Amino acid sequence: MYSRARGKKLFLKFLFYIVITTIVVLWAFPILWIILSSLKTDNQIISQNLIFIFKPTIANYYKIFTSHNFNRFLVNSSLVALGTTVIVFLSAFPASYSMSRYKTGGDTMNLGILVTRIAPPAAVLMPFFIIFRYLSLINTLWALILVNISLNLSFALLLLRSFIDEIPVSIEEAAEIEGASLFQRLVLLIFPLARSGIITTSIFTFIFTWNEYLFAMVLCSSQKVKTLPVAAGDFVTAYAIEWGPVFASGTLILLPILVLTFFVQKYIVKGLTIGAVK
Amino acid sequence: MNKGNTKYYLILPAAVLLIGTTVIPIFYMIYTSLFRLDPVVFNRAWPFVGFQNYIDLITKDPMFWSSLWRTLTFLIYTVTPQIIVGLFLAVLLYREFKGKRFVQTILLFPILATPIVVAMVWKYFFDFDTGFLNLFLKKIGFNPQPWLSTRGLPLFANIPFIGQWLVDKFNLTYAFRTIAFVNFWQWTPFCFLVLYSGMTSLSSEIYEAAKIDSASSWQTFRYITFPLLQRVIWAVVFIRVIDCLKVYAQIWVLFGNAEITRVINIHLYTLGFTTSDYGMTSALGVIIIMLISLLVGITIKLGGKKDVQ
Amino acid sequence: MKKITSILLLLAITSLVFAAGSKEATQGEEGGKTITILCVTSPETNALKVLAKKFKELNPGYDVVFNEQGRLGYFTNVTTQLVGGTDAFDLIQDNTTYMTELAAAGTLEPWDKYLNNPKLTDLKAYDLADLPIKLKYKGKIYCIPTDLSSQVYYYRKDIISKPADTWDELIALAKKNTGTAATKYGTILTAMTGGPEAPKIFDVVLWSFGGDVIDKDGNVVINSEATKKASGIYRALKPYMPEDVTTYNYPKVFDAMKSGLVAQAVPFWNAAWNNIKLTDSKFKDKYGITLVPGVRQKDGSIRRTPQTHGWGLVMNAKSHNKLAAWKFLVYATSKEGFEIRGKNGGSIFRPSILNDPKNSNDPYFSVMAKTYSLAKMEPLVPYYTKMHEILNQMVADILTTNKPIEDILARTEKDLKNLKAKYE
Repeated sequence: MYSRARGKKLFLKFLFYIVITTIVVLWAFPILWIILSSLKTDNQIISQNLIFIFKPTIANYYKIFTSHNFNRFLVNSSLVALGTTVIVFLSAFPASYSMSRYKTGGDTMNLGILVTRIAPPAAVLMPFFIIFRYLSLINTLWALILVNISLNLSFALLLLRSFIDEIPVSIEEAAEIEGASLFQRLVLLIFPLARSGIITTSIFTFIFTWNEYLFAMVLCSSQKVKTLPVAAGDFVTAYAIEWGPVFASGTLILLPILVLTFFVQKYIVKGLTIGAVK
Repeated sequence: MNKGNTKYYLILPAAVLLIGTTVIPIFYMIYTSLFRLDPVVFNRAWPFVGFQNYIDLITKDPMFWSSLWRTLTFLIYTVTPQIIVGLFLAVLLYREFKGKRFVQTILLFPILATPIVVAMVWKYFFDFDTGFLNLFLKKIGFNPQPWLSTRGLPLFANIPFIGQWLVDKFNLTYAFRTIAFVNFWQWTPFCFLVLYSGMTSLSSEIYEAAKIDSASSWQTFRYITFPLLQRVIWAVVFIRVIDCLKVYAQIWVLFGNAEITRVINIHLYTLGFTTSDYGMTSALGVIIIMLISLLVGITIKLGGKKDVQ
Repeated sequence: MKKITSILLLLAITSLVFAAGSKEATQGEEGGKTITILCVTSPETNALKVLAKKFKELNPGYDVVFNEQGRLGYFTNVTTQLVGGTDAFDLIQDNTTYMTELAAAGTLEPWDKYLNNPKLTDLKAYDLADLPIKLKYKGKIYCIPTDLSSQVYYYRKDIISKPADTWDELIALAKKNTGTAATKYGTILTAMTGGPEAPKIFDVVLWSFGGDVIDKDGNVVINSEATKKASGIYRALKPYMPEDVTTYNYPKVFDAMKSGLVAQAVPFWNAAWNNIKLTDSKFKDKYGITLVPGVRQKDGSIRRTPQTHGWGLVMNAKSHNKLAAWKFLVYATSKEGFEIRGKNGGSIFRPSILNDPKNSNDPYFSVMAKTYSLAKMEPLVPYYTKMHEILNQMVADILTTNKPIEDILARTEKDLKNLKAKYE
């Protein structure tokens, strides 16, 4: 009896790990395959046989960094992503504080933010182009930063606000009595307390901006200001898909995200879920 | 600084940015939806047509209603399995075990991976002759599957008499299943994460009580977890519905604007980019915003919660 | 009140800053010497780059900057840039089929005043008569293509000894070579919905039966016996092609040729001939090239009707460097320009070069000389992209559904008539 129950338990445990392994394989494998394929030659990639063991080559990476200007694109992508993140944070932090503490804007503000989140980007591409042409911002990184602010600010506001909502007002009142100004309270009190929210918001803004393709393609098509996703798309040429460089540039784009995910997993989970659970 | 104005000063930078980068383009979209607007007339006087673009879309555009219906089937085929599997994963991973953090991290990745890169990779995976999936199937002794073809799924197509009708009407084709799968792959982890944190926020005392009452794990789930989670589930449904309506890269890279997989957002891209009909695009954009708002209303009503965001 | 004033003040300051920026950047002259080109990544562009190098040697002080972009979304970008009024590019590479719409939009600079100015162009050396294709809109030339795409017939010489002359022979050959030890598929054509290729390939079959989409007088004539016959050919070929043939565009067909999957590729683009030679495919020397099949006429001759369109550079009407841009355009389409590009991956269509005896050992030159002489362009209407969208649909319906051809054609006819009515 005892051993049977034990056997059943072991079996369940075995089953559990089988299921877990399946999950990991299903979700990790495609990503792994990108990285693996980036080390193959073109012929190995479109071979009609499965190739698991092969002599890795860095030719694809060599190609994208030498004959294509990937070091420049890497810098551009980083500048846009960082610039957007900083501006979004600087504007969203005080604003979400105001929305949280003074209920500024009320429901109208919330609804407006929601609508901006559901507007289809394809329908506003042309307006953006015209506005930016008027401001002479086409083919400048500023255009991309502004667009990405538009795509991320509303989300950042909602996210940051729900974090600030969680900070008890009483802490602030105590500080106010001791004579702390608003600025001091924001910087010395709220900022550290809302740290995880700020990190989450920043990571999200950074990654979404890093991933953005459509606007980057149209607003920044000159070599000087091209970003990584657009450059990766360039290997879909008029006549062929150069799979080797596609996978190499894909790996290059995904790597920072992969690293970020591993290090700040806790914050991302919190950010993804807070909007829905609150 | 007087206190009454402080809140406005605080919100000013964000408000200026929001107005400049979001509100103005949206109003511009609504404005342009009232004109006949394509490259030919773009730099001249735009012919004002009132609501003609809307009327044309609804009455004359052969693809409008069909793509709307297709969107509905797409929503059902994607959101339902995502919620079910997401819930299953949340329950499965609720316990503590070795490597839990690792599994969670793996599941996080599809959500954040660059859509255009992932889409290109799927295109490669699903290729009939050189794609990974078919090569793998062949290796383990199965027949390769025409993942990207418009053929009806045999399970349904082989039903006598109504088989073909079912396939046509409800998009039961290989291609449609493929886009549903790609969406499933990318977004099930999201459903899992939200449901999982929903579960962790439930008080553990409830579970202790259930344990004492020696409820089976199914009973615990059916009578405790599920009812308490309902609000969160609705929130997930809501977010997924909005995002599914905005799906783009996955379908565009795999199938372009082929009719068989043309959901409403792909139709919008076709109007805007393939045929450069900006007036119509704006009109459809406005219609999509209204539709989403309607769906939001319904979801909130069904979910019985007012402040879902 | 106070807060409104401060918001207004802030808005005013920001707009001032932007306005100052815009004034500075739009200043420019007609006479700059740096030419910026927006182009798609392709062998033709590589050929243009070689040409640009030579151009810079010949014209010290001039510079040519290429902004290359992938195929994905390229046309979207071109339309948005030009219609949105960019001045960042002087020359833009485009497909001739899309140019009419852009010319009608007033975004392109006509060539006539540069062509007819003896100071800018040596017409005698340029030899306009040797350039059979010119893109005109309302009597003005907007582009002379640098490369001309047309369809030919590729077949595996080691499998097929006598290529088909008619569509019926093609079907028989396709049947014979499907699922054999040598090749998996009997034949292949590009039918990807959502791309620009499927309707053009369909035209090749349709025209050979004497049909058309829109006739000379602008009437919609798609619902005809000829279209029914052409659709019949498509459906007869379907069992011998890959099942997901509606996802096959140029790259996929090309990959299939490279990996030896198909016995024939027809009608398929002439660019593949040079391109496959540049790869390390095992099959690169196994393909033969000949004219596309057609329909046998009563007198025993065969009517073959390849379609053609060009790739070329158009001049942005908003360019600040028009004179320099013109200098490059003339050079790119001159005899010397063609010869340089032809050796480096570009396509040659000047008859004087194609018929040059020194090229007679390569079958490509004679096949292309014949093909170009037979080839027709599609009707270049301003609603071209929208028409294409409807035709794409038709081809997909023919290939992927069992709907009666009559129904498909009736729907196509209705949609085309609606579209045309909107533009009149």
